[in-house]
Amino acid sequence: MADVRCPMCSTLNPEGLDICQFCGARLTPLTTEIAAGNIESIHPGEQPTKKSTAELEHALPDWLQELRKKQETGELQAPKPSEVPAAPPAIPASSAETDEDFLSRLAIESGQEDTTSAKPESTDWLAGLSASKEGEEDIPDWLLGVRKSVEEETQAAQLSAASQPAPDGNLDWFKRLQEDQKAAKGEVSSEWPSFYGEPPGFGKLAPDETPSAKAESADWFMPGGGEKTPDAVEPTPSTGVTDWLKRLKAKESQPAAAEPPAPTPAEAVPLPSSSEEPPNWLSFKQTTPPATEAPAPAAPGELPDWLSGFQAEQPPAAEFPAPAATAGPVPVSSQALPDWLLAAQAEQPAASDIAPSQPSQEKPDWLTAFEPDQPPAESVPAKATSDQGLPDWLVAAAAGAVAAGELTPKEEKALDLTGGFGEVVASPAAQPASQAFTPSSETFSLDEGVPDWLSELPGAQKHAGAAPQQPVAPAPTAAEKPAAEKSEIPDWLVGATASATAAKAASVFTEQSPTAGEEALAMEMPDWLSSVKPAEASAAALPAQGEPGAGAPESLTPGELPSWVQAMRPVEAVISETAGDVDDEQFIESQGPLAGFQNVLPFVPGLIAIRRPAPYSSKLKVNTGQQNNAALLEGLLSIESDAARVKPESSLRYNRFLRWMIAMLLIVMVAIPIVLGSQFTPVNPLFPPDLMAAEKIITDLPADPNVLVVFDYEPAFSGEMGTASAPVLDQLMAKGADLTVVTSLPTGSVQANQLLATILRSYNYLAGNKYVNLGYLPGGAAGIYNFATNPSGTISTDVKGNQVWSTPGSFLSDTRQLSDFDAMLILVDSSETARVWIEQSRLPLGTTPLLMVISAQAEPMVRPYYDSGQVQGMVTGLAGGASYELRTGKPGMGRNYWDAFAVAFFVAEVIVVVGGIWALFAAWQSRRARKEEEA
Amino acid sequence: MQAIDIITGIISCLLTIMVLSYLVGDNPLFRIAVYIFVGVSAGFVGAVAFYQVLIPKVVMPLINSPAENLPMLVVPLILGVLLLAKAYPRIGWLGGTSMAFMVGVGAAVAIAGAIIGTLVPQFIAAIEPFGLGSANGIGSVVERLSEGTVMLIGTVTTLAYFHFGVKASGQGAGTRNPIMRIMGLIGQFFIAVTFGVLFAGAYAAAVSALIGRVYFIWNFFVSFF
Repeated sequence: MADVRCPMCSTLNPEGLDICQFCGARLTPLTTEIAAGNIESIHPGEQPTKKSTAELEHALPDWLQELRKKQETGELQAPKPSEVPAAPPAIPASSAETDEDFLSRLAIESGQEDTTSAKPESTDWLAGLSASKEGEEDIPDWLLGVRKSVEEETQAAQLSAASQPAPDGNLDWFKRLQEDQKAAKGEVSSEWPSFYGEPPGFGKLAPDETPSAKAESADWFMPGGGEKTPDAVEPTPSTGVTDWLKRLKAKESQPAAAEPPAPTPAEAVPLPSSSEEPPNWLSFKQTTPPATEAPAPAAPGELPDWLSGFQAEQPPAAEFPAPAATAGPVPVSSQALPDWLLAAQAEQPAASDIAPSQPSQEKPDWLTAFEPDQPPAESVPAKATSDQGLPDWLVAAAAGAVAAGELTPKEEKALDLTGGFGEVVASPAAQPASQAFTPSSETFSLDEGVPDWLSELPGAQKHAGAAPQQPVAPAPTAAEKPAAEKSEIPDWLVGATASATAAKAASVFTEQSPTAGEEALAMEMPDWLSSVKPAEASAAALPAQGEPGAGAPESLTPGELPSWVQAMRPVEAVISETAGDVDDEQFIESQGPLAGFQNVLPFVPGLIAIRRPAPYSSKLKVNTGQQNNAALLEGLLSIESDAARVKPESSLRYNRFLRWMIAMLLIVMVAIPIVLGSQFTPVNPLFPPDLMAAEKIITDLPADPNVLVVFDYEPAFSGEMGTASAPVLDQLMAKGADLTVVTSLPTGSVQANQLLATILRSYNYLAGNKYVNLGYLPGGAAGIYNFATNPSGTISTDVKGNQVWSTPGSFLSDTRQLSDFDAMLILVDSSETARVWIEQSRLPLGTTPLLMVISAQAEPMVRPYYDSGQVQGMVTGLAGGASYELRTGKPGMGRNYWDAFAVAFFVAEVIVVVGGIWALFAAWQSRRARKEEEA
Repeated sequence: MQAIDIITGIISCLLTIMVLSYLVGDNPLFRIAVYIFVGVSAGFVGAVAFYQVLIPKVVMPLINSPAENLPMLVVPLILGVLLLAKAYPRIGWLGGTSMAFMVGVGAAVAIAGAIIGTLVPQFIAAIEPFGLGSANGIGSVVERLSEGTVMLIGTVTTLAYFHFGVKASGQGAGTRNPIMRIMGLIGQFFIAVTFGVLFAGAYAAAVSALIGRVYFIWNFFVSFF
């Protein structure tokens, strides 16, 4: 199996590992599909587009998957009222908004986004994954099923008069109640969340702006939030509610459907806006309409889908008690209301002027939750729904209070009112609800009705001594509140302590923080969310109440992220990994401008180069053959680096002593015969043919022959050449030959004069009379050729400058060419010179005989010319001279040198033989030594 | 004995001993003798060239020859003068013409003489022993055939020895033709004999020179007595 190389540290890891065992980096990227190009990446600044998230179904958190499984298997029953957070009565928009908050946080916390939770009002990063109606094909099947059932049931619920509380609005409506009341008073809430920034226009709310719009905008409102286009916030009914909420509604609508049909929302409450008009909450950026202009009721058909989808849930708003404008402010005991409520009441101007009149008799069913003394006949229809709409902890608290007799019905109403007021003011028809704090006949004291856990709240304690005397809007009738809502307490609340309950309550009534909201939603949250302790939540929520922004989350909310970061968020949703894997990948940026952000830079094409260089192993993988080759190469290289073996020095070395001994031997052996003057060595009587031919030619010459003698030998060879040529010249002189001397060497004439002087003494030869020394013949071969072809023209005078060719009586006077000579004798010590003379003069000589007296060293090269007939006679060296003397019978220098010459040759022969034997012995000895070494 | 003969004899003996001192190696005496020979030879050659070449062949003809022969004398003179420019590199190019003329003429003469005086006669001489027409008697025929056969074998095998052609083989290294290799071995024998003969001739010439020098020295010393 091939190992998997870590893209970060390039180390090899066993296959199957997801995380590098060395550096901890992920081996299999999460963006496999993105990297493969199957999914188009989203670049910063681009608006997220709709994405199909059906394939991400498996990425849902476990609790959602379990719910889905239960829903599919039919195990999922309608959530019990105790399990479903009680919502204020029937502010669909508000409930939807709270759903969004919940889901948004859920999505953020779980690292994924549920497409069903995406709402048009949600932040843009959720919009990319929200499943719109036109994109239903991208919605998972289970979600489609839920949606269909919800839509069908919603239609039926529209007919029901029972108000449907928002499942999880129990947290927000309290907080927004504070804010909206303060906003209604035209002041900026002191508890304005810091992350909301400056509340622009919040105090400039138009009279027609409903609290619901404000409440709705409270979630999404943030700097720049008003720049959203209406299209961007176009709601869709199906996406405004989570599946569980839909199922809850569906379950709730079932009994409601059995009830007598409730008045339609259009009849019950004026709709804040139509579908053509921007929602009221968008009026932050719009011109404030006249304060007295009441929102016109809108037909259901004119409403946006998402509003129409919740119209069925708005009847509770229609059943709200009559606003203060009509019913008059209800004085509320200062002891019963918290300070913030009192402040909101005090600062509420003539809200009744702008609030639409609402029948005071109509109370939302949830207001009746704390009216156990109401006739069952009145509360029965709404009980079932109210129980489901109230959070169980509220129900439990109310129930406990009632059971203990601590609360009066008014207190119960007030408690319920505080619980539902937020939703009342957050709903589009909440304007009348804002009037609910006006003094009315149904006043109550919160100080008396606040449970102990609520009394622990700082606000509550503060208001214990300073209860505002603000009229409170009439509470809904107790008949609309089912008493059953107090009966069921969730399991987690059973074991809860009073402090935890108080903390929860405090978190409800104080500025809501995300932690508090999540804590309240713990009943629907997964285990990890439910593990959050209420005490911790209250501790986090307490400072938020006192100081604005103090309790704001330290981490940046999604709305504050830059657009490009938001644009990148959908990429996380398409990561086909489980939530656990995503959680593993979460990290906090520690450097750069994104320092502090958590998991804002996922693997996105473009951020990380898809094409990474092919990883190469840093380890050399070689097989056995390659290792052998490497070893061989290493051996060769090591041999090259080794010093070469020095060969043993040869035994044959330059022996100076031997050289001296041989030289002295030769000199002594040569000198002895000369000194002694002995002639003990006979000259070889076997004359060579060339010598006999030369002697015969000379003998056959006519009397007084005209002979051309060429002296071309160096002074160094004068001893040999003089000895060899002397008997020949002597024979010529004996015949009275006229000698014409010429030489091609500068020293030739001197050698000629010296030799002739030695010989001519006997024959009384006079210069210019019997012999002519023409001297030096320059030009080499050309000069020889010229002389051979034109002797008189080449050298016209002798060495003394005398004209020899034209002088009358000269023996050369008749000689014009070379063939006019009777013979030509060449005395030469060099084969080359002899060859040149032969080559150049053979043809000019014609039939004139060519005789040569040559050195012994030139004989091997000149003899072929004799054999070829080009040279007719030849005397070679000292031996030839001695033989020629012997042949002519006139001993001369040759004979004197002959003994020495013979001894020298004998010594040489002995030396050669001895040397040969010594060489053989040395070779044998060397071979023997080698064999011994080898042995 | 005249004084001049004694002086020349002493100088000759000293120079001879100085040259023979080379037996002990390169020494100043040998170098002195060599330098003396070189200097004397150069001076002698210069003197010979001046007196035996320039004066009789250039100066005297210019003086004595008639005017109509001057152009024939000026051309060699100019070429000779230009040849002197070779001694100076900056104007050495002036002697190029003279050098070209000399080399050209010398090559032509040498080639012609080699062909006419050596190649053709030696080729004829090599086949001449096989010309039995000139043989006189059986003994002469055998002798000529033997001589011719030896010469032929020697010539062919010697030429075969200097034939370095090889036959291409697949192993990268060329393979010499076996026949040529055998003939080369025989030719090597003839070459060795030839070198032996040449060495013998050189030794004979050297021994003759030594004998002459020893004889001269001995006679010089004997002359005093």
